[in-house]
Amino acid sequence: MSGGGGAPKGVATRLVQLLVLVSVYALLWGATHVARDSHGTLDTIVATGFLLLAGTLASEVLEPLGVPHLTGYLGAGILAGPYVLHLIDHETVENLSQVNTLALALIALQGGAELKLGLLRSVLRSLTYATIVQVSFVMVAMTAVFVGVRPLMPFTSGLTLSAVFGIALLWATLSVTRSPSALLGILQQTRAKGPVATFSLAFILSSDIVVVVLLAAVLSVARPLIEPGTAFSVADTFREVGHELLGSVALGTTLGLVLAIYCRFVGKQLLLVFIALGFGMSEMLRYLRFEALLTFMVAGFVVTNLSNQGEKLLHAIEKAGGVVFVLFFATAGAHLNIPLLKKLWLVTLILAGSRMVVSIVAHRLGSSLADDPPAVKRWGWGSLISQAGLALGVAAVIERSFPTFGPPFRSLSLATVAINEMIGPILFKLALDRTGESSNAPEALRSDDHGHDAAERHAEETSEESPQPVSSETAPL
Amino acid sequence: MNTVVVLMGLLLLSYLGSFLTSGGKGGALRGAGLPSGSEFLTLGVLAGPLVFNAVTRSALETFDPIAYVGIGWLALSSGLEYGNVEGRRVPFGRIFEGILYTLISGAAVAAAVWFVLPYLVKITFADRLLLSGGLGCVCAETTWQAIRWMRVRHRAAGPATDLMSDLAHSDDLVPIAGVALLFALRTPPRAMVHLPPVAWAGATLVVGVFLGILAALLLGRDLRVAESWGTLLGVSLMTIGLAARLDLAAVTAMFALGATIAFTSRHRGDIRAMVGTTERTVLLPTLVLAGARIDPPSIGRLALAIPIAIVARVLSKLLIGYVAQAHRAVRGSGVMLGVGLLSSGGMSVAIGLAFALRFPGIGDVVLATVVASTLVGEIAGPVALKRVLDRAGEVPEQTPEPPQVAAEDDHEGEHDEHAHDEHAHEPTPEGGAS
Repeated sequence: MSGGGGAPKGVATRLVQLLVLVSVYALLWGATHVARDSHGTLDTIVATGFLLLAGTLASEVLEPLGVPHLTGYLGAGILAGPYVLHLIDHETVENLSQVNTLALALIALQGGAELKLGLLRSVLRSLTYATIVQVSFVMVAMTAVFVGVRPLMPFTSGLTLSAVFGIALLWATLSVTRSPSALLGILQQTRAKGPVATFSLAFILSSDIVVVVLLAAVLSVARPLIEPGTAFSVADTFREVGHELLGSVALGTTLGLVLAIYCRFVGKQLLLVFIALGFGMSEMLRYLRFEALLTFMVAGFVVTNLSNQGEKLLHAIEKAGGVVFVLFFATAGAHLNIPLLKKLWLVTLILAGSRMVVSIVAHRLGSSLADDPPAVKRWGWGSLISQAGLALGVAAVIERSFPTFGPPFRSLSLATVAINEMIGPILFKLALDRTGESSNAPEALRSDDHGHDAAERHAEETSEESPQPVSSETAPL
Repeated sequence: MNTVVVLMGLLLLSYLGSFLTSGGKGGALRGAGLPSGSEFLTLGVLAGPLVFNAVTRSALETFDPIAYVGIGWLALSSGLEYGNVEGRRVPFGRIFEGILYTLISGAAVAAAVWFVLPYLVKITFADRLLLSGGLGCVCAETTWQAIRWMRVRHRAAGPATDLMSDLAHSDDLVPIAGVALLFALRTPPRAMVHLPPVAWAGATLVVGVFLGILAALLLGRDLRVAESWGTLLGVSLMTIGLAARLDLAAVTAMFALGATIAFTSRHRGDIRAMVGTTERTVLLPTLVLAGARIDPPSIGRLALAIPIAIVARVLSKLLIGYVAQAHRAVRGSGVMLGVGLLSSGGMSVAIGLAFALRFPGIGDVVLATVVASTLVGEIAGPVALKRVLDRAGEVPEQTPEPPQVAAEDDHEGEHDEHAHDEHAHEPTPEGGAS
């Protein structure tokens, strides 16, 4: 909730926050024991308030340990969720997902508004290489890993090799998805600026479009492999993708222009406008079968790049952002299926671990080919590990498309995403801290405008044996 | 009607309400509309099953959580503002007087319903108690929004206006406490522990006070508006949700929360300002939801309680009007002072809606009564009040443009700025906004 720019808080404040956090848990625990039965939708109110409060407090209490706020939100949700303390039940967690519709709309709108054309141009080369290498490398490697570990997955037993290969392709597509929400949440907390933040922003947000196209293509390729006798139709595939992509872009552009006009001529009560967009527009997009994330992202992009209202829009979103991120990730935490994770721990660990390794290797390769700045080469992978809503959305699509193995496939996805969701934000914050791009990083750690991080500079200085003072040009971008 | 369409309609009303609060540059829209927001109640009645049936009962039930939050938020605002008029503390004597007057009118209405209704309708003891008590609660107060409307719309100012403001800002306590007791009379059906009603009523207050103290602790020394919204929203939703889960009166718990924050936090002025800017945004959809729940066939013969309660309210307010003329500022106002006290508004409707949500049937009668009482008050109250203030020489002859009077409204721009800069507030000695 608090950005990185706030004044440091003392021990007394942290103790008060810890005390309040414990009190809030105790209060809800007491209430759930005094009145055990569920109260239907009304429980959503108490859950929303609790997650908002507990998530904020947990993030604040954990802040001195250098843990990202998102992890605090997730932790608060996991602890209160149906699998640990059971302060919030399954039904309530499902009801809270409606709130997430609004959160996702705002996150996507913010993501698009952050993507300035100048920024994209500045990293176009890196972006092109990273996209090509990441997609191809992750697809090939993760398909191989999935096929390799199939003895550990009971739902693949009895399937032909080609069917397993088809499922592996779907798994690889899932592995390509990243988390725009985690990226934006960490960037909002750290207020990071620099080459790694810029690269991550451009890559993660544009990868959403790649995933939409890739998923449609892979679904068409995988179907004949999994269900022999089904015809593979390129025309059908791309007609559907075209409908989704073009429709989303067209609607997003229109929405962006309307928002820009509104910001210019009215500019008031943007929060209410966002709520209306989040619920009303999302419903309409679902009906039209357009991609909500893409539509809102395009709308934000249009406001930023085709008008001078981008800052106003971003400022309004950031005002609501604190509440939105806490709720989104705390709910995600409550959603995490811990028993499932326990049950599938080995295969989950292998799949999540290999995805991480493959992503890092692919990043190094792509970064070398693009001749990225040293900081990006070294730490640019930090943002690639997180997975959240988008990955779960892809898993849900796959489950619907293949009811035979869909449910266990989705469970495996949930377990893997859970690990990436917990580890990813920590790694990304670590990357931003190590490159000195976080606003609260010491000046000595900040990367220069050539993307040299502190360690690089130290190495250069040591090798030259002529210590140079950090020049004023080393200020963050 | 599709629930998404209803939601969009409610958001549109919130949007409209926000303009009635902030009013753009120069506050062009302030003071617009009727003092008690009766037009929005009427809009709800028209949309509901009584007239066009555009919003069905089942569709309305989808919005129960929104109704709970709306009611709670209005109660929070009321708790924060209790005994406070635009940054000025209401003298203790006036608070006592306000409470006394509410007790009189509430007791008169409750007694009238209690004694007369059994002659007209067959009713159980428990329902009779709940209905007469509930009607006493919703018919007790005079809304301060009517007096503020006089200040804003007619630029009324002076001792008589202050007196009316002070009394109206002090009279929420009685109905709020009454609601807690009445809700506690029926042991929460899901409760695993059995306590006497007074203990449940006490628990309602404890939830609000405890979370109010936590909120004051969290808001701490520096008030950063962006963070404070998260804290305030979290604490409020938790209070409303906990009270609803335990079948207690969320309206009382939220009032206690607001009053505790106002009493314990050094940022009370800023918090009042923050919440004040949202008041109309929340009030209008709540009024529409309340109006849309009016469904006479579901009330049946219990509807006879409505005229009894309204007549008792009118008579008791007339009596109070005569007693209040002991104050020099309003001496000689005659019957007009009592009529001027008839306006009821947001808080009463919120209480009525809370009854309807908690006790379907009896609660629907309470809600229908408060809607009728608000409409009656709207017709007679503001006109009479203007006469009283005119007579006291406190209404300027020409009122070219509504001024920006309400201090609680005037903080909006300030807060936008604070949200932008995340500047910490330095508290003033009075605890007001810096």
